[in-house]
Amino acid sequence: MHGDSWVESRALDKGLVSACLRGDEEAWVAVWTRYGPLVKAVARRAGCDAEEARDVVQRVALVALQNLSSLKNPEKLAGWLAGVARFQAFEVVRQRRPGEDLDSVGPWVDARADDDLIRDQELALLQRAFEQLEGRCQRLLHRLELKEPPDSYRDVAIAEGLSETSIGPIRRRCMQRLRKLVEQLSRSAA
Amino acid sequence: MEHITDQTVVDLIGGAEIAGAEEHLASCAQCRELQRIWVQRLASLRDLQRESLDESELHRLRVMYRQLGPRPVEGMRWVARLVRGSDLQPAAARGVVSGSIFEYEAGPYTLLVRVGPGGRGSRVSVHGQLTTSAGDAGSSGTMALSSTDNGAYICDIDRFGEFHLKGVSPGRYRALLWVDGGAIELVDLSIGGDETH
Repeated sequence: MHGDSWVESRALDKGLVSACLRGDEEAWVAVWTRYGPLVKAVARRAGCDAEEARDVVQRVALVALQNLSSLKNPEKLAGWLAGVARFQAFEVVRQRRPGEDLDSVGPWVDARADDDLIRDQELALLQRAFEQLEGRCQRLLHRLELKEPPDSYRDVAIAEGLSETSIGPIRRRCMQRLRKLVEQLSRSAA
Repeated sequence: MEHITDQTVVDLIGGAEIAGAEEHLASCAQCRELQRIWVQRLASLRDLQRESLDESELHRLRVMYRQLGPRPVEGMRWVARLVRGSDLQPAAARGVVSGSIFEYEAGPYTLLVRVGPGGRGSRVSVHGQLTTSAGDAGSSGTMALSSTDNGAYICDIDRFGEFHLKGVSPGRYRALLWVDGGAIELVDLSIGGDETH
């Protein structure tokens, strides 16, 4: 889904939901290929370990199966999944710590914490923005900004078939594209 | 220097050298907050990039979709629909066998099933307990064994997560669970004779 527009991206989610409701198993798998990492990331932020994050995916999938047909805004599937993931992760953490005073553990355990919900929604938005970058920008930002540790300019230049001196300017252009997409998506979401 | 814009912050993160920008950031809390937001956004993207679903997770989600379907239905109706189903499908759970006690890991739950003698002739009893992955008693709900040959056996799961089915005829069954107001987990079982699997 490289380079498609915001409108197309939302239409894709709506289309995936419709296809799932028609019994299209591949659409269901596409939903989870696309948003499984988002659900796991939300769960990990909420304090789940890797195994618990896997459970949260299963729980969210069950909730999704029961609620897909009644989603008011299927085009906002990503944000909805992020919200359900936060709640389910909260439940998992609560079961793990039955005797603990959750208020004293941290703000992340409160499923209604506005800041956390906003951050989860932004996570969904960032995923969309990154997906809409063109392929070269995705690869370059992945290597330079997201990978730990990041690649050197020299390695990126070799991998992309570019001169080393061009990497810096391209990196900045890609970051600016990402910024514009985030800005655009934030406006649309609002 | 005037306040730093979003664009400038992103340029700085992207490695640009802008005269006076670093000094301004050091003295301006508002601009540092802008910078923090973008650093946080990149950290969020790193969180996303680290996560993925492996083949076994996707397989379980696929099986879940095949068996449960995307419909918002109430528990008993759901069970009833599945009980009336005909073909046994691949199990959605991983399991290990230990003596006559069978342990299945199913989503957030562990299902223990014990098969013993019960009823007349070759009939058996099936006792079990549903626990959470933390080892606590699972929620109350409904347990059913369904089979195309022998019909269905249905009982309640009590508040301790336990259930008891008596007089079960030998055969292949699918175990259906309705718990937590929505979570059905399924396993396939062969019960009775020499082939309890």
